[in-house]
Order: sequence, then structure tokens, then C-alpha cells
Amino acid sequence: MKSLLFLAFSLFLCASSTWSQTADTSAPKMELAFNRYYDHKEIGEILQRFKTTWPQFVDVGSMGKSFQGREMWVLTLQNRKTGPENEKAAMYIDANIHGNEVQGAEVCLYTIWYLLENYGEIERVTKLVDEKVFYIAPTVNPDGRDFWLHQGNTSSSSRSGQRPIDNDRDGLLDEDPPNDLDGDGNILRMRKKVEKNGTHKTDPEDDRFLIRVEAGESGDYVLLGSEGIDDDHDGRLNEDGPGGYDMNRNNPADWRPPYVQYGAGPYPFSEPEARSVGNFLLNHPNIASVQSYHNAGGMILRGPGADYVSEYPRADLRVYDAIGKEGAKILPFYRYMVLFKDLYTVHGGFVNFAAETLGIISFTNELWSESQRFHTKERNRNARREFNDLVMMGSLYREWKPYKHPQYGDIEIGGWTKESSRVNPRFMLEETCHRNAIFTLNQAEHMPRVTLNAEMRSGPTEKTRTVRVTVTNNALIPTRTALAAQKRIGLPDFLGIRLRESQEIIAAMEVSGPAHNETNKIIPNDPGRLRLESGVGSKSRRQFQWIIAGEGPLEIYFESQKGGAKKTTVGS
Amino acid sequence: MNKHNIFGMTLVCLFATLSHAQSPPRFSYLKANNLNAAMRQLAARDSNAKIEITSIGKTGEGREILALTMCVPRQKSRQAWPINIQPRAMWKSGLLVVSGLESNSLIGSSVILGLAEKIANLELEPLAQTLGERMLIFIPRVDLDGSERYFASGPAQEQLGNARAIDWDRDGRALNEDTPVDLNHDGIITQMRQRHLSGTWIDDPENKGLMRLADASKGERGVYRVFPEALDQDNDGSFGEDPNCGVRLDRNFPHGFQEHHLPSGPHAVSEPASRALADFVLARPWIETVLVYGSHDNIHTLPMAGKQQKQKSFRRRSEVTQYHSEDIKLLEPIHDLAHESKACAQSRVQSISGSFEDWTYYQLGLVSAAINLFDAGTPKENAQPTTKKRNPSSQPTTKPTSSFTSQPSTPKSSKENKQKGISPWKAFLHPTLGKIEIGGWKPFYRDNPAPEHIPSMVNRQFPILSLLLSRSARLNLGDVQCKQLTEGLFELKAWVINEGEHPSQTKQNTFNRFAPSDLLILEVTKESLLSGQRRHTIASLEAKSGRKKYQWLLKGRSGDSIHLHLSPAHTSPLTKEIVLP
Repeated sequence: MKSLLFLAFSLFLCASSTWSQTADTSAPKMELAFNRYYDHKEIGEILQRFKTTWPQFVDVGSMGKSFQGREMWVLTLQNRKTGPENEKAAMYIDANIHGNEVQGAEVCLYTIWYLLENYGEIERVTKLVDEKVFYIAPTVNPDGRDFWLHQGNTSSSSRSGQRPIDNDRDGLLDEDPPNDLDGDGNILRMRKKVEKNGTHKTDPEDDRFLIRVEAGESGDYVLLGSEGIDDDHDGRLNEDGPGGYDMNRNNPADWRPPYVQYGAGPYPFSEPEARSVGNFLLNHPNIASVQSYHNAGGMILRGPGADYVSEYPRADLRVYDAIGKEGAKILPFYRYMVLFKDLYTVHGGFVNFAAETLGIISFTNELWSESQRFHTKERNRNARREFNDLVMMGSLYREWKPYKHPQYGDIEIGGWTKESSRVNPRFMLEETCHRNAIFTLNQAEHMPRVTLNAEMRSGPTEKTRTVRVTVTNNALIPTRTALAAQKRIGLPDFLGIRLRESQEIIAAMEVSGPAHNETNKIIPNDPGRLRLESGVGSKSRRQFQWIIAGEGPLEIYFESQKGGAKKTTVGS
Repeated sequence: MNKHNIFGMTLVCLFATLSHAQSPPRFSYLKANNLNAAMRQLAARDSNAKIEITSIGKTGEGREILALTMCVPRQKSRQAWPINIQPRAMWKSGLLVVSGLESNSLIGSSVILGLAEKIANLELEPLAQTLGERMLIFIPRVDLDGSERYFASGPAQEQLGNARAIDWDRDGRALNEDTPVDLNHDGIITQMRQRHLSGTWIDDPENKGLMRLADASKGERGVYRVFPEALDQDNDGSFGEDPNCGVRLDRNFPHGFQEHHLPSGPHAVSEPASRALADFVLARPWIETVLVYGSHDNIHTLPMAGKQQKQKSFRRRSEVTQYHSEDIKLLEPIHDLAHESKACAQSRVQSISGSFEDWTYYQLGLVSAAINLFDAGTPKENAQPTTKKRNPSSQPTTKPTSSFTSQPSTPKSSKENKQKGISPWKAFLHPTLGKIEIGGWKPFYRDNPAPEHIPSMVNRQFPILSLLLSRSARLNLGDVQCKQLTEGLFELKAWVINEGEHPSQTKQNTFNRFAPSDLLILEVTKESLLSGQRRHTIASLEAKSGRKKYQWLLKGRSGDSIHLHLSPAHTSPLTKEIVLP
């Protein structure tokens, strides 16, 4: 009873209008439904509506084109009046690298909508838009998305892009795909009745389903696999469908060839979609945090993808753990996990590229947990059936129907539809959108926030002055991850001093020690531009000191690819 | 004296001023546009060979990378074939010869041009003998941008890598703000050395003018610290640490690619030129063999055979990093001939991460040879031809501790010649360092012989090329028997045999399963095939003796004809008509 009440309450919440998530009760500036899935064309139109509604904050561009020529839309969201884009920490969010993992695109659209609708309404949102930059790409596999939405598929097919591949090495490309024989937009299952000669029998508890017979028992059915015919007459069904590679294994981070890592492609970034995203990240060194949306399983995943690096440095782990554990609270039924330890090995994954090649704090969320159906972690093998019957009016399942198969003769086709698992039931989509959007905005709030303070005093000699500069990072994410510092990824941070002609640097040193009163690190080379390879750490500060000869004010600057640019003037 | 003091300014000026309309010098080092012009002229001339030029793509600076394809025409007409999307019926097993992946090595391009010209000049019979049923593709220079430094005006400077701008010292300032300079105005940029307590180098007593690292285990103590010939233009305490050079294409391919290493590039196949080359090869499944000219080598010293991996499921496989012993045997005839004819030099580096030849072998499963054409400073102990395979104890060393002498592939190479390539150390007063000396190898000298040696090098490489062309897999349909079992029922048997010198697949390809399969296709209706498959993927067949039998049970009528197609991975299909008896 308790769970039924809870379910009813959840349904009530989800049924309320989209703008219920805003602080204001007035109608939203832009109406957008979050109880449906949009195809690539519709996503393009929605992004343009964002630009038209909020031109001061939005730019819509393309990262490149997919194999079939679709634009790889990316929306840039920022307040241009508060400073140059490349001097602000940026968050990159994308989704749908696997064609069938669609709902991340709607989470991306919701994130954009939420930020724009609530600018000026919610203080933290306003601050985010003013201080940060968001790059949001709702679908980075637009061919795969449209294929999944508009063609017959299962919930698991197809992850790939649409470049034809000879999966069965018979010299022909994509010549034996699954076939939507009954034309219902799904790839279902096929079964054949073979009286007393089969491997399966009807489930006595529910005659819509088959169960395997026990040893010594005979069944009335054989299962023939997914809906399809032997298009190439090689005796096998559906063995060479569209695509057949994995763009989430095509990135240059611990990339391994296809004989080691299925779907890797002939070389890193061989696929135009993966290459476009990779180049976008390479060209935006201000990106300090990355979020990628997949489905399914309710997971907040971080790297490493494989044990080629045993673990991330301890300093980075503290950051990941803090964000991941917060995420597990924001997202009920989601677990914070490490890819290679808790799930499986991934070579050439996208978040691995972002984290391990580019030194960016990066997460992948596997959207939708089966536990969300009845809001319980209790294992119930019949949960999908009950959910279909009790909540979805039976719409997720197709009854068995007879079909005349060219190879198998009289068979039946039926089973679960492509929306029966992995994707959110549409009425439950908005909550997933909101909670995941908040998870990423939470990450964005943790991106580096640097302040620069400088003090000047006379001495140590009569004609010299001492300038002490404190660079503070008030955020959880460091200006450079420990991994970036270790591997010398990107540029170090720089703390510099601009001198007039009459001025001269006599010495530069880092101030350290528990009381910040030891000046034991003398910087011998290039004292006017100090190189901070390890950046400014998580919620910490670094202090430096210059001894200067010559009169007049001094301009101090701090430059960081991910921590932004700051400057201050001391002295007179 | 500017650059290579043997070839001298006259030739360089001549090449630099060459117009497209003029004939390029036959044996010389050519600027990119002259090299491309020479290739186009070669393709346009009268020849018994069918020759075609294809642009495989453009470099980062927009230079066109050209491939020159040659074969014996099937018909006498010079009708062009669509080489980019060649119909399978036209496939011939391909030998791809590539050079110029390294910006500082120009000799390979000139040798390739010489080879192409030699083949174009052949009479019909020797041409047919040389090329046979093979397709020959020459790509003389891939790093066209980086190689232009050789021809640049101003002091000669040898830098590796293409034209990608890299902030080598990661100082976030202007790019390449501290490049080496010609301090002593001798027209060449070499090295500086300074006696210093922190020095690790000493004079090499066996090689006048050269240095080597001090060997502490022998009680030696370093004397010199060494820098590029440079000022500290950005006042950061380092000298010439931000030079004007880019990514090394010979390290930009995926096998063994070194991540987080600036010369290798931001990621594997990051450069337009390397991607153009990779895509070119991937789009031509008929390429069976690869030969790379550069400073890499797997012919002078054969690769080390690795412990063979067992066939595991995909999920449990790890990457192969050592040659299969059977695949090394495919390189052995080239190794033997190259030593016999002194056509290869030892490489001065142990192994190259991210090389093109390793990618084509380890990941594409092709037969892939790499020949180092020239090294003016080959270590003495390795100068004599060796037939030994590379093993851990006899691997070449990168340490400049050995004595240097003339190397086998340089015609008339001598100690005296080498000395001409070394600029003697001369005292200089450096504005920051004070008393120093400037000297060492002259730019480009070590990897590029004097142009007058090119013809003889072409002559030495021609037998190697001919040998590679003569060796391939050649699948054929052997005995095909069809007998009637009873009225309307037939048994068909067919043998597929490999008559070639190479197995139908390298061992590496049977493991990585990247290259397309050889196929045997029986063209019958589903209804008439009672047993057997319509399409067979043919497992690897050994060289010379490899054969496999296939069998079918068919329903039909006497007198009906059916077709059996053998579709090898690298060559055009063969079809046999079978009349049911």
C-alpha cells in the first residue's frame, strides 16, 4: 500500500506541467514538452527556438557532420557581457553516442531550458550563466538516433553509427540486417511451434512468455532469434546489420585495435562524429568538466576505463568521489561506480579521452534504472511484466502473431518493444531530465573559481619592495587535475608580473609551509612568469613572493586554461 | 657552406627555381611542387606500363600528396580506370611503396622517383616480368610540409616533424619564440657544447668531431653539456627549446602510439597527411604488401619473434606487440637480398612507436617491410651485413657509444665522406653562456647522401622491388569435380589452392581478422542447395602448398550450368562454369 501511495504521488508530480520545476509559477518563456523523444530535425529546431528566445545567451553551431551528413549541433550558453568565453571555465555535456541510448538528448535540452528559464529567477542559476560557459550537444550520433527512432529496432539495437561495415567478412556491407517483418517499428522475437520437439514451453504463470524446458522435458517451441530473414542466404540471420562499430571505443585514450576492443574502428577518431567531438574538445581548453549521457542501469561512472593506469591520482579521486557521492543522492537508484573495476573494461572511451587524454573531470551517467519502475530496490524478475500491465496499459509488449517466414515457414512474431527497457517510460522522463540536469549543474558549480590577491610591502632592502600574491581556488575542481600535471597535459597555469622599464625582478619564490611563512622554493628561470604545473588545487591556495627593484605600480596576472584569467594591480 | 656541402648551392638553386614546364632533374632532391610535377610528367609520358596519378589528400599546409600507380595494362589501351573505387573485377594484388614520412629524410622520395622512372622505361616483356599481375603504388613523400625546410632560404637547419605549430616549451607565449639560430654565421645550425660540471658528454676518441655519452660504469665522467645552437630568445633560461617543427608522421600511427608525447602528435592519426595515408590504404583492400623507405628498419635486422598468443575470445585478447615467427619468414628473402646487394642500412633507433609499417602489419595484417636507405653514421660493429635476426642481445643501440664508420648502402661512402658531414667544434662567445664551442653533424647530412649517389641507390633497390613484386599469395581453383549421385542429385567438390609465395593471410591477420577474407561463392538458388554453404570464408592457406577442399550436395537437372566464384581478398575474382553431368 505504501508503495502504491508513493507511486501515485510520483505520477502526480510527473503529470504536472514542465514549468513546475521553475521558481516562478508563471508560464515559461518557452514551452517544451519533456514527455517525448525528439529526432535530429526536431532537436535542431528546438535549439534554434532557444536562440530566438534568448539571443543574448545562446549560440547554436555545429561540430561537424555525421556520416550521413547530419549536423552535429552544439549550443553555447553563456553571458557574453561578463567576459570572454575562453577566460571562463566551461562545462561540456553530450548524449546519445550510442544510437539507441536516446534519452540523454532530452536531458541536454532540459538543462538548456532550465538554465535559461531560471536566469534571474534562481540566484545559483544566474551565477552559473554569468560565470561559466556551457557547451551542450544533445546528440553526437544523429544518424544512430534517427535510425533508432524511425526504424525497427530493439531496446539494445543499434549502438553504432550508420557507416556500412562488413561485420561477417563476406565482402558485402550491411547486407543481412534484422527486418521489421510486421512493420510495427520494433524488432521483436520469432518463435516456431514444434510439438514436443522444442527447447521452450509456455510459462505456466503467464502464457505470453516462454521458459526453457528442464532436462528430460520436451517443449513445444523453439526460439528463432530476433525478427529477420536470411537476406544474404548464408544460413545465418541478422549477422550483418547497419554499422557495426562503437564510437565510444573510437577515442584516442588507451585506444586498442578492433581485435582487442570490439568496435574501435581502424584508428582513433576514424569516425566523423567522434572526430568532430574530439576536435571540439581539443579546441576548447577552457572545458573543465565533462558529462556524457548513456543508458541504462542507473550509474554514475568515472574512469579509468581500463587498468592501463592503475587509478587516478589521489587528489583527483577526492574530487571524483565528492561529486559522485553527491550525485548518488541527487539521483535515487543510481550508483557511483568506476568503469574498469565495477563495470567492464573500455579502451578508447569518450570520458576516458576527456579525463585521461585531456585532464578534464569527466562522468558518464547511465540513465534509467529498472528500480525506478516501482521505486524499489527489491529484485523482482516480473517487474517489467507488472509495470507493462499495471502502469503502461500493456503498450510495451506485442502479443505473438502468426507470420509466414521465407526460411522458417509458419512462425509467430511477438515480444517486448524497443521502449520496454533502457529508455525511460515517457511519463517518467521529466524527472530523469531534472535530476540529471541538476547533477551536471552541481558539477559546473564545482568548476574552478579563482581569486587573486596581492600585497606589497617595502624591503627587504631600502631600494626593494616585496610583493606577496595569493591565488585561491574556492571550488572543488582544481585548475589542473593531478593527472594533467603528471602527464603534462595542456598548458600549466601561469602567475606573472608585468614590469615597467624601470622595474626589475630580483628574486621570485613560492611561499609554503603550514603557516605560509616559509619561502624555500626559489624560482631560478623566467621569474616574471611563474609556471604552476600543478595549478591551484581543490579548495586551496598558493602563495608566491617577488622582490622587486624600482618604483611604480605592478600588474599581477593569473592565466589558467580551466581556471580563467585574473589580474590585479598593487603599489603606486 | 650552406646545408650539405657535397651537393652544394648550385643544385639547390636549380631545383628551387624549377618551373612546372621544365623537366625536373632526374636524380636530385626536389621541392614538393617539383616532386609532384615530376610525378605528373612521369604519368603523362609514353610507357608500356599503365600509370595513373591520384591525389590521396592534402597536408596541413594544403600541399597535395600524390600516389603514382603502375601496372601492366590488361588491354593495350591506356584507358583510365577508376582507381579510387576500383571495381573488384579489376583488383590486382598491390605493393605500396611509401617514403617521406620523416621530414629530414629526402632520399626515399628520390629513390622512389628513380624506381618509377625505371619501370616506366621498361620494354613490354621485362615490364610484364617485373610487374606481373601486381599493382604498384608509389607515394614518394607524405610529409611534404616538413621536408620543405630542406629547401628554405637562410641558414640550414634540420628539424623533425611537419608544419603543425607546437608550443614545445608549454609557456603559453607566442609559438616557436625560441628557435635555434646560426650564431657563428657559417650558414648551418648545429650544436653548442660547454664544459660544465653537470656535463654528461665526452669526445668520442674513435670519431673525430663527434661526442658520446660518458659511461659511468667504465669510470668515465661527463665533460660537456650540449644544447642546440641557439640564444635564449624568450629569457626563460633554456636555449632553442621552442623550435619551429611539428608532429613526426612516422610516430603518428596507432600501433604503439605514445600518448602525451608532443612529437607523436595530440593523438594517433591526428595529422591530415597521416589520415590521408591511412584512409588511402583502408580504402584499397587489394594492397597486400607495404614497403617503407625511411630511417626505420625491419630488413637489415629482422624483427624479433614473439611468443605466439593463443586464440582467445575477443574480450580476453591483448594487443600483439611482437612479430609472428612465420611472418618473419616472409621478410627473410628481402633481408637476404638487401644484405647481399648492400641495399640497406641499420637503423640507429631500436623501435619506433607509432610507425606506419607497424600499423600496417600489426593492425591491418599486411606484409610490411621497412628499409633504412642511408645513414652516414652507422655504428662500426653493425656495418657488416648480418643475417642474424634481431634478438634482445643484438638489438641496435641508440647510444652513440659505438665507433662510426661508413655504412653498407652508401656507394663510395668513406670515413672521409663522413668527416665532410661533421662541422668541427669552434670556440664562440655566447651572450648568455659565455665560452662555448659550436659544431657537430651538419644538417641533413646524416640521412641524405650526395645526389650523385641516387642512381646507384635506385639500381640497388630495383632488385628488392622486383623481389617484393614477385612474391604474393595467388589463389586458384584446383580440381573441380561434379558427379551425379542419382537422377537430379549431384555432388560438387572443389579445391582452392594457393600457388603463391606468400600465405593467403599473414599469421597476424588470422589473429586480428582485419583484412577481408578470401571467399568461395557458389551461385545457386537456396532451393537447389541441399548441403554446404553458398558463401565460404576461406581459412588461411600456406604458401605454395596450401589447399582446401569444399563440398556441396545439389539438386538440379543434367545439363544445367552453375557458377563457382573464387574471390580472393587482394585480387580479382575467378569464375568457373560447371555443367551438371
